[in-house]
Amino acid sequence: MTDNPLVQDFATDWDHSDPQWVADPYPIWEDLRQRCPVAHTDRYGGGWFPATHAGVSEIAKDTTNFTSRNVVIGNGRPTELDLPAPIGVAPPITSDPPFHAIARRLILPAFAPGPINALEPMIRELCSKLLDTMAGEDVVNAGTQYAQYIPPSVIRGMLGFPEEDIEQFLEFVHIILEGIDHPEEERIIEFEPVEKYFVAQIEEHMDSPRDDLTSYLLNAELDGQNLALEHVFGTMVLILVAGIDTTWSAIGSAIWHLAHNPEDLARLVNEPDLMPVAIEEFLRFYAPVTMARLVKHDMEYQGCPMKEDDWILLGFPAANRDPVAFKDADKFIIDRAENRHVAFGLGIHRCAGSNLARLEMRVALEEFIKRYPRFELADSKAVTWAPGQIRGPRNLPIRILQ
Amino acid sequence: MAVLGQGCDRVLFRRELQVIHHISYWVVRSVRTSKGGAVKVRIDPEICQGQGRCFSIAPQIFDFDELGNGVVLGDGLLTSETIELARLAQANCPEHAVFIEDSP
Repeated sequence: MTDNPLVQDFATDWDHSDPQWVADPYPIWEDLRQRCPVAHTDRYGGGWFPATHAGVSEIAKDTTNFTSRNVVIGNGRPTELDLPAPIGVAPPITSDPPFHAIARRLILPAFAPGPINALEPMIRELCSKLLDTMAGEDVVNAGTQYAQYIPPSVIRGMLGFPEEDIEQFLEFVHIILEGIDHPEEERIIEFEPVEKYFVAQIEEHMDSPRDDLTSYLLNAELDGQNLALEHVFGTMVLILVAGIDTTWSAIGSAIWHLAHNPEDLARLVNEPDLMPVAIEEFLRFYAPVTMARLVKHDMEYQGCPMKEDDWILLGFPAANRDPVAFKDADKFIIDRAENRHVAFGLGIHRCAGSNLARLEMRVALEEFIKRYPRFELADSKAVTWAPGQIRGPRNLPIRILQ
Repeated sequence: MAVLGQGCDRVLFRRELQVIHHISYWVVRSVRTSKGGAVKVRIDPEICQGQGRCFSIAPQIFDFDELGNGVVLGDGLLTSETIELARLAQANCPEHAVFIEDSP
């Protein structure tokens, strides 16, 4: 949470860290869609929030007027530290065309369905082991004991870091995610042990290459040359930042939903084939990720006077609840057959890890409901939601029913 | 020799039957427009971003390439058995990259 004053009117002063937005943003977005489809704020140095599917879609696909050189809203306007690619902070998410396509092409093969689907047995074993550690408890924390552990453990395995380093790795994940909006000087100090460990792993992989993502990045070529080590390091950090609290939030939200919608839980238990369709509805209804853009130059958009370097918060979760784009948009329909949700974004920056995210969600939910076919919220008031651009339950106490 | 000849004819006949069966399959099963043309599905590679919905929903019709982008299997001609599935995949593509249209 920030120390900002509470928001009185989200149309003229929106704040994605305001307690009301963090607790339940959906009524706010519905209100904006009806009276002010592109909301404004002077906070964070100034920014805009399109609340409709059409607005989000149009801006996400418009790389002429909007740039991705920073996708996480900072405390003020972007500085010279938010440099555009080539190497930049974290290619390809922070890249614009034409470099974007080159950086993206490098990583897409590693996240295509073929190599990702091969991870299923590993993820299933991981989930099963996590559930073993919770065995015998009447109340389990599906956030801190389960969902939170799945993505980092999968990514540790993909990067080929030793299994015994998992605790240290989880600590690094914590440092990176917590420190994402700390001042640059603080981050450099906080990052030191992370950098040291990653560099050691990179060196170790250079000496003995193997079949993992670290070796894949070290072997990748750009213009006939291996990637600069900063590029390899930057992409590894991107994979950590983009692949962890996002999927953890998606898994948590789905368990939260099932915990207070017993009819949906029963359907998934009784109709396992429904799971892939249900996953898409979880993604639509509880899309965890909003991404930022920056306005490239002074311009007018839908009557709004946008200035160069104004923030745009791309509310994919808001687009997913727009009744113009979805029938019964405000209803969770577990077997919704037609579902053009945009949880993974739209256009050239479509989440590169979407196949992995779906696989982790499916296996995590399948294993959870296999072990616990009946459960409920142990204390609905104790559930906390992450503030900022990634939304999902953090503390999620669940009572196991017989 | 006569026996051998008969055998050869029989083999040929069987092949002809297979061909006829194959053609009739398409005549009967492929979906025809009012003008009599076939209906085809295609993915526009300029629009597709690899959202992955088409090949998950209809693996009989779509596959993915090494980047994870959607591709159509074979010639993309739709039959009365596959057209509804193709329409469902189309209705789930967030990028609107799936096109179902008359084949010339």
